Parts: sequence; structure tokens; C-alpha cells
Amino acid sequence: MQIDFKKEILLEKKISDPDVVSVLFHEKKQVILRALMYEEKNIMDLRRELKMNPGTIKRHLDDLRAKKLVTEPHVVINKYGIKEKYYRAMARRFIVHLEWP
Amino acid sequence: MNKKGSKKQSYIHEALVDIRLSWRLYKSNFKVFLGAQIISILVFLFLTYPWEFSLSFYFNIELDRNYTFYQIRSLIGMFLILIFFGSSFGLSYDIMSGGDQFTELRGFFHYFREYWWQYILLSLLLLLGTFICSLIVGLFTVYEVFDPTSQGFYIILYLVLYNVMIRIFMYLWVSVLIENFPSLNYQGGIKNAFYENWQILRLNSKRIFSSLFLFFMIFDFPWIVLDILEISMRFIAIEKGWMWYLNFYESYSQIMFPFFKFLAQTVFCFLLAIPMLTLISTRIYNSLKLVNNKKDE
Repeated sequence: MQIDFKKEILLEKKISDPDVVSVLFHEKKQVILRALMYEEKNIMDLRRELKMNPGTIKRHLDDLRAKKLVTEPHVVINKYGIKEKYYRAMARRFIVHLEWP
Repeated sequence: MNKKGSKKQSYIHEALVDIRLSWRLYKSNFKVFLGAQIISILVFLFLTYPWEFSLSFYFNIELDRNYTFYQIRSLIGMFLILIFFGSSFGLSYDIMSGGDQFTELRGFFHYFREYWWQYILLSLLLLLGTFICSLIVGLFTVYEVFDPTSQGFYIILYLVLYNVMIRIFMYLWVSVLIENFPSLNYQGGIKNAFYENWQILRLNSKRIFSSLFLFFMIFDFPWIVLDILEISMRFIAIEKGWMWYLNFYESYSQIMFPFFKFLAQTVFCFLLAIPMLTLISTRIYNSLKLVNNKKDE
């Protein structure tokens, strides 16, 4: 699925699902999410920036995508014929609403 | 510059981009290729190479000389190597077409399971080139029209025919068939892969031949030079009477030099040449597919 990246990123997103919150508060996922808040990046960009294993980044991104914290990748085929997937955070800020019990 | 000249320059430029880009992707995925190729090397050395015989020679161990067992084992090893060769193309496909420009070792086993018999078939087809050429060269060397007493002539014949002609033939053979592998990974069917390989070759033969030529010059030519140098040195030493060289060569290095050369060639081939070949051919396939798709649009 291709996404139109010209549309503005959400300024904030409210989260109340505890499952999503647990993903959001994972330390490494937060680092990745923060890196994707102002610019769309591919895994190789993230690897260079965060000095993390690309496989680890991929798994974290999959989790973040599953919880709708990161958008579906923007797919481009560059001039060298290589497919590239660019990821971006769903919003610039996440607001957590939790009530218990 | 005329149109023909600029086209030629573009082929050279594309070939250089192929090498540079593949090298960059190879470096960033080095660990995965290393893991995959170490598995291949181990299978190659332990299943296809009769290492027990070498050990029994050095350590005086009595072996049960059941050759059928070794032959079956070598055959299994050979088939595994052929599948591993094809699976390396799967890794390159993941890198170039997966979208994330990286791959993982489990991908190697995924492609192994998915396309094992297709890889055997295609790799056997590639090997058939070496077999045909060895047969032709072998027939030439035993042809009795040459003077059998002329040692120098045979050395030159060996140099020219074996080391150069076999490589040229292999270069042409590989260039003609190589796009089958990326096409198989892309389409999933061997029939379609053959058809697409033929189509790509028919429309873009110069592009494939120029990139593969560069590949062979970088990754194969140094070994040809080494082979020629080794044989020439022996020939010159015989002619000039350099006993120190002949003594050294015939004693210590008689066993060690060919062994280390074989080891170096194996490691170089598996760790560098095969991954680079898979990346280059996948890049060629992707870029040509892109061009052809654009033409269709």
C-alpha cells in the first residue's frame, strides 16, 4: 500500500490501549520512534543514526506498525533499481490516557 | 559524441555502478553473507572434499575404503552446494527488492526450502558450461597432431587453452544464464525464469555482458594471472636451470602451495565472488526490469 506523504503528520495521537502503551514505553522503540518523528527514514538510515542491528530495527518497526505508532512504509524504487521502504512516526506527540481500575 | 558512443559509455557507466553498488550492499550485509557462505564452505570441505584420505595420509590411519560411501557423500554435498549457490541469490533478492536493503540468515534457509530443485537445475546448467569446456580443452590436449615430446608447447597450450579459453567460455556461459536466478526469485517459476532470462538477454545483452565482463576482470582475472605466473615460473626455472626454485617447489611447496592456493581460492570464491555475483546480477535484473517496465508503460 502506498501512502501519500504530502499530507501532514498528526500533531498528536491519544493512546488508551494498554497493549499499545507497553509498546510505546519500550526504551528502544522510543528511540526509533523519536528518530521518525520529523523525517521519514529507511532501515539503513536508522541503522547509521542509531547504531543498531538492522534486524532488531526491523522487528521493532514491525511491532510499532502493528500498534499503529508508525505508518505503513512509503515504497520507492530508486534510480539504481533498488526498492526502498521509508517509515515515519504516526504523530509528533503521543498522549497516554490510562485509567485503572 | 554520437549516439553509439554515448550508449557504449552508458553501458560502462552502468557496469561500474553495478560493481560499486553491489560492493556497498555487500559490505552492509557482510555478516549475513559470511554466515551463509561459511555454511557453504563447511559443506564443501566436509562433504565434497575427501578429507579423511588426507588425514589418513598424514596420521597413518587405516580407513575402510568404501568409495561408494564417499561418492554418495560427495554427490549430496555437491547438490547442497548448488542449492546454497541459488539461495545466495535469494539473499541478494531480499536486499535489493525487499525494501529494507538488508537480509537475515534465515532468508537463506527460506529460499533453500522454497526453490531447492529449481536451484539445482539452474546451477547444473551453469556447471554444464565448465564441463563442456573442460571436455573440449581436454580433447585438444590429447589430440596427437601435436608433438608429444615438446614440453614447452604443452605448457603454452595449457596456458592459453585452459586458463584463458575456459574463463572466456565460462564468462559467456554465465552471462547468458545468470539472469535466470534473480528472475526465479522474482517470479517463483522456472519456466517463466527461462523465458524472462531469454527476453532480458535478447534486449539487453550488451548491458549484461559489460557488467559481467567487469566482474570477471576483477574477481577472476587475478587468479588467471596467478595460475599463468605459477606455471610460467616453473617453465622458466626449467629453461634457466634455477635449481633452488625447482627444489623448493618440488619439496616443501609441492603439498603446501597447491593446498593453500586451493584454500585461498575457495574462501575468496565463497566469501566474496559468489555474493558479489549474486548482487550484481540481481541489480542488473532489477534495473533492466525497471527499464523494460517503463518502456511498456
